[in-house]
Amino acid sequence: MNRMEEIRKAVETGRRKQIAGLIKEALEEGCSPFDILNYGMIETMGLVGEKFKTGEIYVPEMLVAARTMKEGVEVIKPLLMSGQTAAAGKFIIGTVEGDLHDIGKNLVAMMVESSGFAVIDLGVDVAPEKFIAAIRENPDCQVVGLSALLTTTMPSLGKILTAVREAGLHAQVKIIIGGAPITQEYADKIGADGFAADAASAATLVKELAS
Amino acid sequence: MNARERVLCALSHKEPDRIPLDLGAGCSCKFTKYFYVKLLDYFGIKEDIEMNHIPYQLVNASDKVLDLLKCDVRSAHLHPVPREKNPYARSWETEDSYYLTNNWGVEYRMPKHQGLYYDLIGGVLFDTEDDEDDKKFIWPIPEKFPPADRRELGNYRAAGYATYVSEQFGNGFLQQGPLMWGFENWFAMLVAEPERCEPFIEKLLTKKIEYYDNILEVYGGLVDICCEADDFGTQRGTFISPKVIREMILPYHKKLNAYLKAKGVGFMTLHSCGSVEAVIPDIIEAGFDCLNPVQISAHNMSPQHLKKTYGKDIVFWGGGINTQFTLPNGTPEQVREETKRNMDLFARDGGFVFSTVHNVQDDVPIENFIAMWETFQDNCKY
Repeated sequence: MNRMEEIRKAVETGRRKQIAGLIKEALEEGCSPFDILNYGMIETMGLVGEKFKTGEIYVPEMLVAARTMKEGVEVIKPLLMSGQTAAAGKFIIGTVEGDLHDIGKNLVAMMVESSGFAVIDLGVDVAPEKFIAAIRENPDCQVVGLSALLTTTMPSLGKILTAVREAGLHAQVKIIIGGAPITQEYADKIGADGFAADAASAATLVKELAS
Repeated sequence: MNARERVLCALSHKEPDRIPLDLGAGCSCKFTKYFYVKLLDYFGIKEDIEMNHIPYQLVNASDKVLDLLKCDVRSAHLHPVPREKNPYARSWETEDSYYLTNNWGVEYRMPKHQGLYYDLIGGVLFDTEDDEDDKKFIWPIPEKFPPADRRELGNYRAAGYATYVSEQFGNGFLQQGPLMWGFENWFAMLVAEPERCEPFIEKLLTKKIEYYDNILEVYGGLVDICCEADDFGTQRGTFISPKVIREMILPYHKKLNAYLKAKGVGFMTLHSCGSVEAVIPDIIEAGFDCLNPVQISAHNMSPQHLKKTYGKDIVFWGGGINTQFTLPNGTPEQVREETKRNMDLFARDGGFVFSTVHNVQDDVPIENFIAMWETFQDNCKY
């Protein structure tokens, strides 16, 4: 197996502790950081996401692949700064006000990052004004993701959408929502631009909306 | 036919005189404290409440209440005698919350205002990086039990009840890990670093065996049913792939079941919440006789499907009524209708012990509980 295939295998099987060493070896052997990122990792994560969507793998397998890719990206990030490649886009994400749950939000962030986006994670219990400030500070952000796990925090999704509209920023960014109790119907009701049922679908949706 | 004969008959997949009933005794068939207070008020009984499980706020229902409810099962009231000063265990409170850390170094918090349970907030292994860190964990020593407690279970047996030990040493082989490393970390370890999980699961098996040895030292020959608790399911499917459950978790259950049956325990129950349908054949293969709580509202867990597909090979201990919607939030009429329907679907050819899907919680209106109980009594005869 050549080095690039080993990188792909390490991402796919979540061998987090091996990824940095493999990337260094691949770079020494002359692979370009651009190929390692795109072919070695982003494409592999795309396949992992597809396997998750079809039920072939479960959340833990996707989680370890995303964690591995994240560590891999850290290794090659400095090498990509010189303009060899640009991120596919920028994505802001956070769990809404009153909600402290972050497993789903973290998975979405990792999957979107794994598909080549720069991700700004605002954390949990994020107030509407914090989302507004982040959108203003990042005029190149195309998509914002709002996460809510509890039925009691779902109303915060609508509040943030209203705040974004009132701030005149909705023309600039698409807002997508997700979380266990959320449905497409609910997204339509509050006027969100998209809904995804799981992290892999969220990554696909962000790509579509950003393009 | 006495209660014990009734239960053992159903567990042997034959029809007894009526469907056996377990409320308040078996694993996850119990009452939470504030629901139990409502039940005591309803019966006009005054008694000191004995807690069974602090984090879940469950009680040991008294014999008086269980007799009034005509329940067929009695569980041993364990009084563990610690054999160590555990380095992690402590409890404390702040202005707004109660806290406790258990023998496993797992930390819980319950808000004083409207807090119903203790929620997991951390553990000693949450930030560990490798097996060297893991090795620093100090295992709890399984407690012993007072020999005099044998009399209680002996009396239950003599009075004709089915006897049950509903407590376990820690959680199951899948679910103890998340409490100690955190859910994300443990599930990630299971698929990417199984070599870190296996020594832990292996050691958990030896500790569980030691725990049951201590139990059986006191209760040997008197235990009809034991229960291991290991949640495999979310509402949509299994937490992790059925393959990992099959290959890494169930072999340990199989060993433990074989050990306990050789020691004279009559039947083994697996408590496993959620949609576990994908692994029911494997649960059967691992030597479990009964499945609890039978979460009928979860994916692929309808009573019709379960009874038709697996009813000959496993006993459904639970599944009587949906405790997420109908029992707490439905009308008494909806409760009656669902109770009757589930009884009709599960009862045929035995293999069914009626209980709620999980413990009866504080938010269940007493009139709904009574509607369920009356419907059961009106329809339980074969």
